[in-house]
Amino acid sequence: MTCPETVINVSGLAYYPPRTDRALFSGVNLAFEVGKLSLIKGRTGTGKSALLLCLSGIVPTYRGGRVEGSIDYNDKYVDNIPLPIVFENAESQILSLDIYDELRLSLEKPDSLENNPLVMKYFELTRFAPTSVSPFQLSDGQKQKLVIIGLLLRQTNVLLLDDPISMQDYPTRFELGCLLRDLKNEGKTIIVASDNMDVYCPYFDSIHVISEGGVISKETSVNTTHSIFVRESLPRHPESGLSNLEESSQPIVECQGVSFTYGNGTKAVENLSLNIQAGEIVGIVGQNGSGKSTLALLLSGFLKPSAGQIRVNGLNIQHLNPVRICRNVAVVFQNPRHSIFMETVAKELLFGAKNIGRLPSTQDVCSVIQKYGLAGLEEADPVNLSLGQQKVCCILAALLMKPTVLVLDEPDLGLDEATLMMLLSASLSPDFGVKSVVVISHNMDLVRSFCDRVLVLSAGKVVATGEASLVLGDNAIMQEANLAWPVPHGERDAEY
Amino acid sequence: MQSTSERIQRALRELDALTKVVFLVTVSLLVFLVEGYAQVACLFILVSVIALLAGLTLHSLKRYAGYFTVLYAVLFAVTFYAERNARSAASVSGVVFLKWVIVLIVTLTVVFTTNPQDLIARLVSLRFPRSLAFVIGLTLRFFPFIRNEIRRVAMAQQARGCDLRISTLRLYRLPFVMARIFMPLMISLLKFSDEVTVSMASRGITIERYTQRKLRRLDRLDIVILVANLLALGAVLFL
Repeated sequence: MTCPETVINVSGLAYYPPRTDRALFSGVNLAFEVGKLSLIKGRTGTGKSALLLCLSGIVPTYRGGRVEGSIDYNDKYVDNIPLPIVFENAESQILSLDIYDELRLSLEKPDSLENNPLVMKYFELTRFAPTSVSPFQLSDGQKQKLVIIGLLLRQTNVLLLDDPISMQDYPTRFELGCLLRDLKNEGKTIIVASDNMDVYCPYFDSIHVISEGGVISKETSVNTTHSIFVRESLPRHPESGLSNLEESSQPIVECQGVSFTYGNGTKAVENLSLNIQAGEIVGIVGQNGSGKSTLALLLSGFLKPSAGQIRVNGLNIQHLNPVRICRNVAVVFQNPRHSIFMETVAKELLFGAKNIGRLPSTQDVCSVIQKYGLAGLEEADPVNLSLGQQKVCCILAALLMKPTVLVLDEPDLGLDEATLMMLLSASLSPDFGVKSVVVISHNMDLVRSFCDRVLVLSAGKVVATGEASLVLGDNAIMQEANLAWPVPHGERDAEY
Repeated sequence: MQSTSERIQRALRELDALTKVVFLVTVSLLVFLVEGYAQVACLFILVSVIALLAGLTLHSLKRYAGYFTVLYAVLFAVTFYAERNARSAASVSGVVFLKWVIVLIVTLTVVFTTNPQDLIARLVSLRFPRSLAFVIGLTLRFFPFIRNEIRRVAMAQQARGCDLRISTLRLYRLPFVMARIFMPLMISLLKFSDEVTVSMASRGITIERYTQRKLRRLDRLDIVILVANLLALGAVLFL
């Protein structure tokens, strides 16, 4: 029996981020075999992405910090460092304003693009249909494919992906899964860092779990095939505003015939009516571009409906100033990086509450920091935190504003499931007085487990609404909204 | 069936990218050369008509009325300080203000009616070095990003209870509000440029001496240059 060849061998790796003396992880030993699909998973802040960046060679060369230990690359498979890497937001990796120009950048002879067999092969493999539109007008999934093709054109044998599915809708996630399988079949070595790839676990050849301090353990796929949201349910605290559904005559959120059209004529929301009662948790699902985030912006008063009106707590949201809106509705946006304003975590958590005159006591803030995973980071600069930790900051800052309605736009972006579960439990806690939660997500397991009711959107229109488990289990509805997993659940394994 | 205005709009949009850039440069030069109120007013009417024909709705400029008022007030204050005559200050600051608006309108018209892709393709066809065209493309790539980032940061601020509406904004609060938007924007831009650098490196576009973000203290030379720049800016404004 011959020993499988390794592409990357890691021994005793430790990484110290810039301006800190504390190692994010240390003593990491790993080996990645040729032509295998490997997953690095772990909780928020354990250093999955940093480990991937170390493997690529980007850290410390481009990002600073200090690395100890060694990473050995097999010269037979690795030509150049840094290794090709796809970030979670592929858009930032697109360098040109034209699809073909983008691909030309990777070729040694840039003029030989048309009828280049390699380009044609990767178009076919990724099912990418080139068009004359700008790369920025492509869908998120197509952008990701374009970046992957660009990297593959370098004739690389190794491809690294950092949390590739967190920003993608259901069909795009499925396509990415197929693509990873096809690339593996092509003999490529693929390493993915993510904590949201559980559904693909059976198809990974090796799963490395990184825990606090860098302890790496190998996991089998058997116990990870189901999301934590399938295994556990969120308890509602009896004293919380969300403990009982109040069938009162006055809903807490009322949307009547709301429509919204963007300046370029795109109808994002059309004639939408929605009532949310106090104590209700509502999930909003839909394909990318179905109008979910626009609805969140309408609910939080950032956009003015073209028609119809939205009332929160009986008040027309259009007539309220931002401070009064924030006292009623707090929204947590998808990307936490836009919501970091202060120089320390403690100040960041207080920023919103201070602006609306609901300043909590120092004791309350300390207890929140201790309780929800930010212990020891009170004086840390939020800019230097991981994406997941920044997201925790944003959700806690919104909760400390003690809003009546909490709107969470893609809360699972950058967060591991256990941390998300903890934060969702926090929103149900009586400490924050939240009466209704609106969750916008691509994560069907999360919506099914956490929400009482779900609203399915397609092209700005409501396709279906009702009890989450019933609606999400209805294949006809899911197909109409283009959200159905393309292969029936039972056949999923066979498909791969 | 297309209406006449739609046909004109389409024709203007389909004009060669280089022609539009030449138009922008010519108008900008004219703005510097003309002095009289009547000439500047004629130029203003001309560019406004072209902008309207190109389908650029000036309605959106109304949103920035507050900023325009602040700009005019600053110009008036500076000229009044220099001239010590309200009538003359109003006239001079009016001309400068109008010139600024002309450049803004003509730039917006060219930017919104020109596909950056066409501009780069045109430059390459004129034997402009491909590497330089790539750099221009990369620079143009930043504009939509910056616009979106400003919008996102401002929305995130408002979501935390900051009132950024022009109508309620007091002049003395303006620097604080701008600083609040500027800092997260800078961090976001640094992050973005960092990702672009890494993407370029991982695509084999190597840079021998790459730049790195480092926390540095201002030394004496930095302060001297900063003060000199401020003095130069002041001199330009007063002269």
